[in-house]
Amino acid sequence: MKTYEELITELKGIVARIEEGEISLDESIALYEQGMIIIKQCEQLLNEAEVKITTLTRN
Amino acid sequence: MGRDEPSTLDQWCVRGDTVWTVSQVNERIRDLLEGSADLQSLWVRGEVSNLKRSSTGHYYFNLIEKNQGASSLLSCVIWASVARSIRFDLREGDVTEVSGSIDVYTPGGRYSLQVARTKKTGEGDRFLLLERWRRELCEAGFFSPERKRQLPRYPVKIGVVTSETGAVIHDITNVIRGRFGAHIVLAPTPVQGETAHAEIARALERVAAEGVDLVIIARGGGSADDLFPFNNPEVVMAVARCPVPVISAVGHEVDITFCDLAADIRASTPSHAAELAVPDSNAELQSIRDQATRIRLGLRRKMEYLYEEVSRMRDPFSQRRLLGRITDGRELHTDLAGRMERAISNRIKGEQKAIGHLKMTLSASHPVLRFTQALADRREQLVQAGQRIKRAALNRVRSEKLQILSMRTILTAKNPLDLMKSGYSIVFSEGNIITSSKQLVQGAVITVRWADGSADATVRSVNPNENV
Repeated sequence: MKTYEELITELKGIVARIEEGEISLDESIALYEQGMIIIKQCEQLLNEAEVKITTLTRN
Repeated sequence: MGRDEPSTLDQWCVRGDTVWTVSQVNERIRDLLEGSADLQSLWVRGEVSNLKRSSTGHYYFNLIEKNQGASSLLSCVIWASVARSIRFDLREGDVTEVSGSIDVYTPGGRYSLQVARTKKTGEGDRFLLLERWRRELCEAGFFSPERKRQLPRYPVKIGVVTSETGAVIHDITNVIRGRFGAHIVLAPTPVQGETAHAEIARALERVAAEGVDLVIIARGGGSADDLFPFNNPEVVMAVARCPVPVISAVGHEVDITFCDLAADIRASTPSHAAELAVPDSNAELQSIRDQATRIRLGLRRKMEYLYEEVSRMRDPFSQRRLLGRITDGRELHTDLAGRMERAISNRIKGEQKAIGHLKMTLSASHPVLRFTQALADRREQLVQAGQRIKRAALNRVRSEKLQILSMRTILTAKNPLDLMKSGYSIVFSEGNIITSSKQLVQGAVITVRWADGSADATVRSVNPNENV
């Protein structure tokens, strides 16, 4: 499972490539689909994120 | 002291006959004052005046009392050894309370209060200490801006160094929970007291070893004394050594400790530190939606561009253009048809001419009247053939304009002149054209005709081919 940061980095790369426009239609569609999958994963991570607390012992 | 010597000043005054030495008097005064319990460990209130520090570290000042024009003065001293061990803050003009004992300096005949404690302790001493620390830490570069590190944008594990009791850890946890998911690792530590600085430093080291992405070091508001451990170089050095960025939030916004100055970023409160530590998931969701929009727009632009390109390419095939082309084709067709008709007409004329030529040749070579009918028939045949050819050709033109060449070949093949030119001849016998070997018998006289003449011959033998 990728971290949120990895997903966001990937997503920004996709946006940059699709906005650049120097790619074929097939590639654009593939990037679009890939982007939508990542966005769904990001939203899922955000919605399911929880705060966990661990307390270290004093020594 | 001898028996004759007065034991009290009163006795000395009354008797008057005994002469004391100066030192005897001063020593007597010292004994009286220093032996008086109520002059030992007393508290005195007064206004600080004429404060001086000697080169050896002793502090001298007067406490004065002004009361309706009259004034009293008490000399005070804080010995260097005491000054080092207590915290004090005395300023010229301050009304303060000091505690100590009356001491008599016998060689000078003076008494003074030897100060052991001051009411308002701490700040002066601390001020000096802070100044020294600040100078040393600054020189070591712990506060320099180049040391500051960028916070990670999406920390997964967050170390927190603070007390496990109290509001601070709750504030931090609550703020983080309200913003983003994370794993908080708390390294509990006392945040005030004599040994707090060492424990804070150790807690920081301990939590850094847990593989956290950043550390929040925090404490709630308190007095300058309470916050003092966070100025300690031990804490500052632990912050500087921390392998991941440190957010410091010690005390209220107005309180600035060296820990704050050494940290990569200073937060005004523990809650603020938590806000700085993690992004807000609502803002993140919005940002993700923006990215989605950009991807959709990007794809749409791409498709619109391609659609335009396709339209540009399709234009030559538009209906209007195609109709234009059909018209052009029709004109070409008409033109071709005209040219073919003319060609055929010329061809027929050529045929007629050839017939005329043949007729002339025939009549010129030999006056064979028997030929006349044959020629007439032949001419009729040729005319009919010409008409058939013309019809066929016209049909051909109508149906298959592009086959003119093959048509020409056919026409050529039916030209008898050409046939004769290429080696064929006509055989006559008794006025008839011989079309079969069976028409002949041995000894028959035949005439063989070519385009340019004839020859008479006698048949030597007849060899019909039964297979034909």
